[in-house]
Amino acid sequence: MNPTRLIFASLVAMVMAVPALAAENAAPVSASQLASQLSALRQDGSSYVRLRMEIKGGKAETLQLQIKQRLTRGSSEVMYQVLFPKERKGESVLLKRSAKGGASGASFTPPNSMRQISDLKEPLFGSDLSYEDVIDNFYGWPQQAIVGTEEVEGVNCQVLESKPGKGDRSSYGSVKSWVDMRRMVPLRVEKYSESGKLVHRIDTTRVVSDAGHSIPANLSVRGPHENSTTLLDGSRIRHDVNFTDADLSAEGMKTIAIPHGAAE
Amino acid sequence: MATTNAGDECVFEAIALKKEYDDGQVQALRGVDLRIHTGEFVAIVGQSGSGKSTLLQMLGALDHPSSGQLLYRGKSLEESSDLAAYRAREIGFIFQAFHLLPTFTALENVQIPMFETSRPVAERKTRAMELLKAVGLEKRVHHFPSKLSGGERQRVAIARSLANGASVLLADEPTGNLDSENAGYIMDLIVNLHREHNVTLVMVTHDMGIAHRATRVIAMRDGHIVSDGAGVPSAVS
Amino acid sequence: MTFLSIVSRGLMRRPVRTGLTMIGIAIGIAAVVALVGMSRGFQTSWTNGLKTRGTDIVVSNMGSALTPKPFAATQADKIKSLPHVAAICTLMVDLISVEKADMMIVSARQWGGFSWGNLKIVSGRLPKDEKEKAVVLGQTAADVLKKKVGDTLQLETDELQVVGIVDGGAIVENGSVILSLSLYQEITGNDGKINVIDLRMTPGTTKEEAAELTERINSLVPEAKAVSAGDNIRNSQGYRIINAMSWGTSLLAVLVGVLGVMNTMLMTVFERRQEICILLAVGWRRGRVVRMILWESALLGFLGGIGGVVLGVIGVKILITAPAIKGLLEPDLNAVLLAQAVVISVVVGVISGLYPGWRSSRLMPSQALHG
Repeated sequence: MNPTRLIFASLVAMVMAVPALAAENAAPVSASQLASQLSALRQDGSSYVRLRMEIKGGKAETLQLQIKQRLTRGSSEVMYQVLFPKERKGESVLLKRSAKGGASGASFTPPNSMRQISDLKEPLFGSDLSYEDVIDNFYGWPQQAIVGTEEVEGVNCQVLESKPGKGDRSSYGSVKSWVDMRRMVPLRVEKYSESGKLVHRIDTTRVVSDAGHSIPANLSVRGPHENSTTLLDGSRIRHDVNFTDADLSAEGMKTIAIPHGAAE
Repeated sequence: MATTNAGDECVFEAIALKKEYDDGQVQALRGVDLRIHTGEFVAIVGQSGSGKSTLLQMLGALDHPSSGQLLYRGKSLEESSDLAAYRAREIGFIFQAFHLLPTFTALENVQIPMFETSRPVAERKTRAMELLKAVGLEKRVHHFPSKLSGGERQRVAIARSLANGASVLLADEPTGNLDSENAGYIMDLIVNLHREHNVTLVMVTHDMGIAHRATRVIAMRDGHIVSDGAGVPSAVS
Repeated sequence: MTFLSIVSRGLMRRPVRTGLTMIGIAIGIAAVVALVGMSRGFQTSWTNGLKTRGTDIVVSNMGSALTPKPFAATQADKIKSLPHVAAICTLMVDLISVEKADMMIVSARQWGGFSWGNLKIVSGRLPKDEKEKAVVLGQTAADVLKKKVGDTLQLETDELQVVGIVDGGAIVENGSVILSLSLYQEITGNDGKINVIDLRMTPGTTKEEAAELTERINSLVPEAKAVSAGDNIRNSQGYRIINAMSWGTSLLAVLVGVLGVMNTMLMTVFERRQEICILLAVGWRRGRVVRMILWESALLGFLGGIGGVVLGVIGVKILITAPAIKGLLEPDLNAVLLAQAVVISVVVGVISGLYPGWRSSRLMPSQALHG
């Protein structure tokens, strides 16, 4: 029965802490090729994701979230909705970024409080992630460079440095990704401010295989606040979900219905 | 070469016995010819490095000669398939440094050689008790070597050497680590064993007083036997 | 004094070192017990779960997706009328994070299907009908979720009433959130989809007939694979990986143990060189000296193995109370595994003693006289 795989994967990650297999030596690729591959893997169409968000330190809280997203080469639309706890059920955040790089967003708190998001640096549902972290696709930025190789948890990784272009309007000065070339998964991401200060560090703590690709299922996010960590554990992903424009609109934020009939 | 025959049977016969160390750079024995007979008390004397201890080791089959032949009761030791049995049953060794096993009591140390015999556990223990009684240690049987005096340790070692009823005792400076009182006691013990049980005794010693008690004294120098006969050779004394 | 007392005395010479080496082996053996016990336990738990549900054959997708791959519920109709099929029950089995809990088994069952039959109500009741927005919780699941009858449970987007706590008779069942299939299909938007078919055969079906039946199912429903309940887990790639990994990790730990024992025994041989030479000088055969060393290292392995088994069992008992695994599996710490662990440990001891034993047999007794 298939849940075994998931249990095993979890057991492996949680109990045994078996180091990931060492990456094979992949054929050398240029920085822009690598970035565009990663970008294509990220911007892979419509999908529905269920995840658990655990905020540790400070105001500790566990949330169950669903994400509805339409990520294409040109644009990104992402809606995060709280399913649990009861008191926060229905809280939604909708973020959009157009091809020109302009991002905008709105948040909804039941029963009827809707507001435009003016500062993308605000935290998402009180976590260590900001709205910007959710909507940014730094692999689409114009400046990409491979700045070295380094081991992360025993896996040899290429270190890719991404810098935003003038039109990207990012609050970050650069982002470094440690990419496992065999599985094409960033095992660590560090985001730096323009002055070069480390703002965020995101570690991939579990990688799962999904529809022939490897995807990070569990993430641990640290910064900008000390003593606070946010853990994201993905439990379900469905691809090629047909979201209508209405689903990803201000009206759509008011309902938390699960899209029906989607292929899993 | 003069020899003193105590009995008819020849216990040891060495023919051109040589022992080299370090690829021949050190020649400890340079061709020794020797016959030792049953019931003899032979003292081997000589200065340090003269080869006397090496000769004793060859007799005890603790090491192999580099060349030459060594016969025990007419049979070549080199060709023997079971030197361990020879060491266990024929020979009793007494060392200057006693060489008792520190984690075993006096009683247990005496039993160690008996593991190579078919004696059952209880009999081993009884025999060891008897031997320790014979050397006057019946009240110290459960003491570890560290709790025994030098003289007592050597008495345990003597009891051990007799464990399997050896007919030949090889003693390497048995009193070298003892004060004169203990040394006298130990020597009396060993000489009595030799006399009462007709044990062949070969003893390496520096002590001319001890050598005087031997029936035959062999003097060695630079790996050769330089004199062999009754009494202490003048060359050495 | 026996030979064994000589052997044990050898180990007692350096009690601290012997103790540390034993701890080293014990940790390795504890890893064997814990990892293998857990992975085997997983298999037993799951098989027991199927058995208590009265399932003889499981039809499910063995793909490599993140969650079990759903297929159309209509596929079940093809199977229903096959010979030797007594009953089928369609299910959607999921493993998802529920409320604050990390991973929970959600078992959505066809209303009226036989898989409901084994549930004994501990408190409350079963759902009234398939449309009632209600769940029942296995006892462990209720514990993990901290729920009692009358509470609500957030499952995906819906709030469901906990109407009963049940004893499912197997750890997997007790760790599950159980609800009606059609309700779960609605909640998750998987209308008309299932991912498991539990199949009960008619009494008296022979092995050959069962094999034939699975073959027919496999040709009728290519999206899924039918396997007998016992084989189900063993055939899973995940189980094989985990089993291989638990043995792999264990062997690594054991290897460390080997090196530890070998190091200790080598030190012993070096340190006791003079003693060994004395033993040779007083007539011990080389074989007996080698045997002494091997027995010492075997005894070290044996004692370490016993310690490791105790440590492993305690470790597993603590581990299964961890929220991440609670209710998911029951370790299989049977006597055979524990005995195997001790045997492995003794073998490790003997192997580790071979080289030091060989070294000891190379010594010349004349070396006893020096120093």
